[in-house]
Amino acid sequence: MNHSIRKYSSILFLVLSFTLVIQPVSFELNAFVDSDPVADAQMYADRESGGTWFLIGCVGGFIGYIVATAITPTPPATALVGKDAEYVATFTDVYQSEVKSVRTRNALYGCLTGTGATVLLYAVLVAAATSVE
Amino acid sequence: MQLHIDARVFVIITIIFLNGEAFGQNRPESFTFNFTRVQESVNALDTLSGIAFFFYGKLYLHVRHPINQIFFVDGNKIKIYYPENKTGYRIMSGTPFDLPIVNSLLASLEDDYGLAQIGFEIRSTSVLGDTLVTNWEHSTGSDAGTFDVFYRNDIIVKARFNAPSVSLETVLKNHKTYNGYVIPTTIKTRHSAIRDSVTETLYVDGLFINPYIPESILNFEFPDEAVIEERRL
Repeated sequence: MNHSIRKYSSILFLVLSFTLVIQPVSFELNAFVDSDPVADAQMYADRESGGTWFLIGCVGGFIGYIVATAITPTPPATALVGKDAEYVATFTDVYQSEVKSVRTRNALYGCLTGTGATVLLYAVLVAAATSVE
Repeated sequence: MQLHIDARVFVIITIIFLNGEAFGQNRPESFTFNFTRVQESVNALDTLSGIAFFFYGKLYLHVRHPINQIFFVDGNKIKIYYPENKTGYRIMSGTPFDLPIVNSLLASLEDDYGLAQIGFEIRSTSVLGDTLVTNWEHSTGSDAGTFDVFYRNDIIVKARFNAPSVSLETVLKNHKTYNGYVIPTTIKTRHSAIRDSVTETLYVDGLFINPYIPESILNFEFPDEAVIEERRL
């Protein structure tokens, strides 16, 4: 029970860390007035920390994957300052879609890696126990 | 000389032992300033200017160039309004939005650059000439990146963030004293990523600490006749 609480606390902490650290850190980069909102949103989405979500998938397993699909990414406000209405709408839509895609893909890879490693560990332990007998 | 060493020791002690407690103690509750932000990349130069009001964690920007836009950030909510065609957005998210324009300025007003608040812990300190350098790592490990914060004469003059895919270097200069607060009036940030790099310079002018802020800004509401699109993220 304590182990589960610790595990889900870790997932929540990693999600919060991402929100509070990585995203504000990328605040400095803004899209340009005449630039393409789709390209700009993809550029921002490229900065999404895939490693963090891979780790969440590894630690949380399927729950980590569900968390990745359930959380809607918040677009950087900085990217919307000084932009026209059409840009704001397009950027927001594309950013959310791209970031969600990065998160879910990495969480899934993490989930599969974590599960694979666990299965392998059990196989080794079973093999070791069998050889001892 | 003795005074300088003592000051450095004081800064180190403050950072190590007061970490979270020191956060926010030396930050004014409200201020306003005119801003100009210039961004340069390989093939683009972009200028943004207007007036900013920061108060009790909220931000009101009236952008005058390149477009007339009012941008109001209040935690998880953003209101964006275009006065010329009376349209706008109300965007609500599950997590707080960042605070454009004032972010670096606010960080520079914290003894620890606001790092303790977001989970960073001090790992080492060193002295380079007249500069004290503190190295910070996130409590979850260096995967979230590391910060180096540079202090000269007890004020932050540079901050550097390094992560595997991105790096940021912010230089804070032309400090001026307003109501006892030492505030940088030029903040230059170089953002380098794998596929692009951008240099952003923020110029701060006409700064007032704890100014009178009209009700229309404190609690910004869209005009009745405005056509507003609501988005829930």
